[in-house]
Amino acid sequence: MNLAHQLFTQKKYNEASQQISTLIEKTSGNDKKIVKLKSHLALCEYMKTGRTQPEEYLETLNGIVKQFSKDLTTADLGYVIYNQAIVNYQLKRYQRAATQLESLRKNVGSLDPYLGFEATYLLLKLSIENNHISQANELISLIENQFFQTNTKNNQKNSGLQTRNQNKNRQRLLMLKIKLSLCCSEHNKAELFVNQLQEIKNRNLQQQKENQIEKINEKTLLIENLSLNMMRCKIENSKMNLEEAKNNLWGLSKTMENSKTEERNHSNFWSSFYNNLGCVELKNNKPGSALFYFKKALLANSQICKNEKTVNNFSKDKRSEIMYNTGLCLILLEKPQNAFQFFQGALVCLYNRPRVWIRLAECCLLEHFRLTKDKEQVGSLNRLVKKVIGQGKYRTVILQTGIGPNDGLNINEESVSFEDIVSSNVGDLQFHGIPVQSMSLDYASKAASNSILISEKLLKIINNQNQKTSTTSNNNKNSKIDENNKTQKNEFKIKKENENGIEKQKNKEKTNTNHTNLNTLKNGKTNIDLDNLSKNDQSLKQDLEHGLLLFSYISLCCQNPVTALSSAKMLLNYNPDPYREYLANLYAAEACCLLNNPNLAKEYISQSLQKRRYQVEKLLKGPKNLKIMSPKEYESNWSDCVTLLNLAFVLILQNDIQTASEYIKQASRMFPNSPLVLLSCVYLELSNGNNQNALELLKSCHAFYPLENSQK
Amino acid sequence: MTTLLQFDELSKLQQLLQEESTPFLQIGRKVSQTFTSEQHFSICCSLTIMFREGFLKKKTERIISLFILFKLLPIESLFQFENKSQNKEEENLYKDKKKDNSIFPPFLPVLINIAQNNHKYNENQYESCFVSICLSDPNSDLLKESPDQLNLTNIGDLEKFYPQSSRINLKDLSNKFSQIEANIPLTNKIGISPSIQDPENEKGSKLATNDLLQYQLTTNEFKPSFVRPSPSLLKPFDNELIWIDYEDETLLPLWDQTISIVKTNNDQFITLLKKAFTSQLSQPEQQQIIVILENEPKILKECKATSENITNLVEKNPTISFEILKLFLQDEENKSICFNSLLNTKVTLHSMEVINKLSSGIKNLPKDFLNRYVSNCISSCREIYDKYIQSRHVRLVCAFIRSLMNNSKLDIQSMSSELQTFCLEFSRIRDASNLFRLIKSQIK
Repeated sequence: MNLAHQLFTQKKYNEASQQISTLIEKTSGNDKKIVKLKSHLALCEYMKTGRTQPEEYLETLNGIVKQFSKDLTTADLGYVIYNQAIVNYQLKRYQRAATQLESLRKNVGSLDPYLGFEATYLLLKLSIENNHISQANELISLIENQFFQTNTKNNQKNSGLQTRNQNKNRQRLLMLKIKLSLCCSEHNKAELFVNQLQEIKNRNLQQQKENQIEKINEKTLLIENLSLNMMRCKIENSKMNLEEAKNNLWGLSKTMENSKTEERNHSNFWSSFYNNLGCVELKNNKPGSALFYFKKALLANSQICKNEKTVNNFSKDKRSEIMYNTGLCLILLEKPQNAFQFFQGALVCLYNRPRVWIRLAECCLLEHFRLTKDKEQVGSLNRLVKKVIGQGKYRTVILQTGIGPNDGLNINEESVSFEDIVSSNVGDLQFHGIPVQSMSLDYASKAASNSILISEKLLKIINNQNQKTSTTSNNNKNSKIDENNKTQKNEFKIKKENENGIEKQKNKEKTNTNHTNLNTLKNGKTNIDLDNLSKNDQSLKQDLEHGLLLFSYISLCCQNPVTALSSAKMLLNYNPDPYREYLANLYAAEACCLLNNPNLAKEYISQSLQKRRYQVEKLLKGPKNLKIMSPKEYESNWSDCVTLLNLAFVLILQNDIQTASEYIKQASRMFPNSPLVLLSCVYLELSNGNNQNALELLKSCHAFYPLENSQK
Repeated sequence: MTTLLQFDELSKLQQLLQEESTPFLQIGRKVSQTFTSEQHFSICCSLTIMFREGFLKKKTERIISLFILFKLLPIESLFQFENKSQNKEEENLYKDKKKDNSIFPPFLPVLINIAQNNHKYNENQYESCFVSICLSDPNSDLLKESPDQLNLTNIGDLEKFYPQSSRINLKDLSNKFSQIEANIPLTNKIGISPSIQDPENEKGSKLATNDLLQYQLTTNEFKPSFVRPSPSLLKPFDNELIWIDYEDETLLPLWDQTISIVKTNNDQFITLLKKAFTSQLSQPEQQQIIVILENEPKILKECKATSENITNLVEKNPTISFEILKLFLQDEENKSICFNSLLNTKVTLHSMEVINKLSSGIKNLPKDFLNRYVSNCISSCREIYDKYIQSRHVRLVCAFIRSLMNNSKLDIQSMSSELQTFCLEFSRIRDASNLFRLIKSQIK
C-alpha cells in the first residue's frame, strides 16, 4: 500500500491504480480495508483524468458509501465522505458539501486527526463564505481545542499532525480568522490577526535564511493573501482610506507583474485584482470607474473559463461573484436592464443568496417604474386632460383615464429562445451560455418569493443554532435540528431560472419547480424569532422584510390582492422598521379594497397614519455614499398626503363622498398642485354633478393649457 | 388609451343603426354577417356607451341598438340559468360556478335595467317594453317588424306582442344578478365618464359624430386610484460587494494513510535495506526502495556501508545494487569500502552486471578499480576446474570485457598483455578468440 502511495505522490497514477487493483484482488473479508482500497483506486482513476471527470468520481464514492454505510461507521468512511465533500465544494455545491462535512464534524473525535482537521477547516471555510458567523465561531474554537492544544493529552492524539503541518495549519486558520473578522466588520480584530500572520511569516523567512533553504525569494500564497487582506482591512476600516487601498492594490499588481514566478500568468489573480479594484472604486462612489474594472475582471476571468475544464479551474472561476458586483454597479447607475442580465449570471452560483433574488426583483421593478413613468399621463398637471375636442357649444373635455401603477412591465414572462440564450450580450462582453430570462412582473414576483423563502430558511437555521447554544445541548437536540433542516430542505424549493452547460453539474442541488412554495405566505404567520439576531444576521432580516415588501407590491401590480395582503400581513408580524411598516399597511389596505373590504382597508390606513413621519423620512434619505433611486413620493410630508388620499379613496368606495371630500381638502392644503390631489378633487366635483367646478379646477391649475395652445 | 372600435367598424355599426326599414330579424342577420364573434364584446360596449352618453338621439337608433345588444346575448345560457335556479341542489352547484362569468352574458344587466324601467339610460317606457318582449320571447312576432313600422310613441301598440302569460320575471333575474354584482370589486364601480361638456359659446360646428365617438368609446373610466408608493431600492449593506481573495490553495481529495501502520520512509527504507543485505527482495519491495531513493536520496546518508553487506547486496539484489551503490559512492567514507568490497566480491554474473552498470552510470569511475576487477575476473576463470562451467564463465567474462571496451571504460594499453594472455589461454572458446582480435585491432 505504501508503494501505491509513493507512486501516487509521484503522480504515477496508472502504476498506483494497478498496484491497488492487485491488492483488492488479494484482500477479502475486511470491509474497512476494502473501502479504503476502493476509494484509493477511485482517487487514482480521478487523478489520471486530470480531475476532469468529477461526476464519475463522485458516483464511485457514492457507490462505496451506499455499499458500506450499513456495516461501517461514519469515521470508517471518513475519507470517502471528505473526498465527496471536497469535490462538491469545488463544483460549488456548497450546501451538499456542508451537509457531508457536518456529518464528519459530529464524529470529529473518532476521526484520524489529519482528516479531522481538514474536514473542520473546510467546513469553516464554507461557513464563512456563506456568512454563517455563529457556526464559524464554533468551528474555530473546535479546531483550536481539538487540534492546537499543547497539553500532553492532546499531544498524544495529535501525533499524526506533524509540527511542520501544524504551523502551516495555524497559518491557514489565521487566514480564515481574518476573513471572518472582516465579515463581522471587526476590523481591529482582523488587523490583529494580520499582524500575527505577518509575524509567523517573518519567523519562517528567518528560519529559511538560517537553514539556507533555497526558497527564500519564492512568493507564496500567504503573502498575496496577506497583502490583499491587509488592504481589505483598510477599506473596511472606519478610518477608510480608499486612495491608500487603491495604491496598495496597484503596488501589488506591479509586484505580480515583476514576479518571475508563473503566477504572473494566473488569470485568477488578475480577475480578483480588478474585481477588488472595482469594489474600492464603488465604495469611493465612482460607479463608472468601478464598472470599467469589473468588466476587466470579467475579461480576465474568461481566460480561466477558456482553460481546460478541470475541477480546479471551475472552482477558480469567479464569474458569478464579479457579475454580482457588476450588476450592483449597474443598478446604482440606473441601468436595470443590463443589471438584470448580470444578476442572472450571478445566479448560476449565488442562487442561494436572498440578496441576488431581491436585486433581480428590483431590476424588474425599476424597469416597471421607468415604463410606468413613460406611460403615466397623470405624472404632470398638464396631462390630466387628454384632449379637448369640438368648438363653441360642442366643446368637450376628455379626461385622462386608464393609467395606473400597473401599466408598466409585462406581467407574463416571455419564453427566450435557445439562440437568444447563446448570444446573450452584456454590454460589450459576450458570455456564451448564460441564460437570460425576460424581465416581467411574473419573474419579479418569483424572484421576490425566492428571496423570502431562502432568507426564511437561513433565519430558521440561525434561530435553531441560537437555541442550541443558549440551552444545555444534548444529543437528541442535534438530531432534531437535523430533522428540521431536512424538512426545511424539502419545503424549500427554489425555482431555478438559470441553467447552462457547466452549471448542469449543479442541477440536482437546485430543486426545480415552476411554482414557488407560498404556504407560509398564505397564512401570513411567522414562527421565526428575529429579535435576537447578531449584527451580521440583521442583513438577512432585512432581506426577508424587503422581499416581503417587494412581493406584496408586485402582487398588487399583478392584480393579485390575496398574496399581496398575506405577504404584507406577514411583514407586519415581523415588526419591520417604520418605513416598511408604513408601506406594508398601505399595500394591505389596497389589497383589502380590491377584495371589497373597505372597512379593513381603513384600519390598515389608520395604522400607517399613526407612524411618526420623521422616522420614515429619516430612513428614506438612503445611504450617503451611494446614489440610490428614491421615489419622489417619499419626499417631505408626502407620506401623510398619500394616506389622506387613500383614506378618501376608501370612503369613495363606501359612497361616503362627503367625508372623502374633507380628507381630499386636507390633502389639497398640503399639496395643492399635486396631480393626484387635483384628480381626486375633479372626480369629487364630477360625481356631485358639478361639471363646471371640475372644469374651473382644471383651468385654475392650467391642466390643459398646453393642449389648447397646441390646438391653436 | 385604446378605443373600442376602429373607424371602419364604427361606420359599419352606424350604418346598421340607420336600417330603419329593415325588419329586426334581418338586422340581426346583418349583424352576424358584418361582425365576427371576437368583435361582439367591443360592439356591445360601444352600444352601451353610446346609449348611456346620449349619442343615439333618434328613437329608431336606440331601439336598433337595444335589439343588437339583445341579439348578441348568448340567450341560451340565460334560459339555462332560469331553469337551473328552480332546482335547489343545482342552484347550490351553480353557486360554486358563479365566479365563472362566461355563464352570464355581461350585457344582460344593462338590458334588465332598461326592461325594469329604472335605469338612468332609459328615457322611454317604450324601450323597456321592447326589451322585456325580447327577453321573454326571443322569437316574438315583433321582431318580424321593422323599426319604422312600429309606432314608437304609443306603448299600447307594443303591448299586443307582450301577453301577461309569457312575461319574464325580471325581479328574479335582477336579484340573481345583484348577487353576482356583489363579487365585482368596488374599485370597478366608481368610474365615471371621462368627457365633460365645456361649451364656450352658442356658436361652433359639431364635429363629425365618428370623430367624437372615437375618443369616447373606451372601457376606461375616469376615477381616482389608490396611491401605491413604490418601495425604494434596498440599501446595499457593508459586505454586499463581493471581495475576491486571491487563493492559490488547491484542495485535493485526501489519500487515506491509515490503511496500514504508517511508517516513515526512513523506517521503511532501513527495514527493506536490512532485508536486502540478507535475502532476495520481492519485485514490489525492490521497486519501493527505488521509489524512496528517488524521492529522498539523502536517506542513505544515515546508513553505513560494510564490506559484507555490499557483497551480499550485489549477489542477492543486483537490480537495486546499482541505485544504492551509486549513492554510497557519493560519500567519501563509504566510497573506499564500496570499492574494496566490490573487488573482494566473488566474480559472478550478478557482480559483473553491477560493475558494468556502474561503469556506464558513474562518471570518473577509477580506471585502476576497473583494471583490478577485470584481473579478478580473469583469475576467477582459471580457478574453475569444471570445463563446462569454466567455458560458460569465460564467455561471460569476455562479454563483460567487450562491453567495457565498447564503452571505452577499460585502459587496454595497460592491460593488453594480461588480456591477450587470457584470450590465448582460452582460445578454444570462440568468444575469447573474438576478444583477442578486438584487442589487437584496438591496440593498432
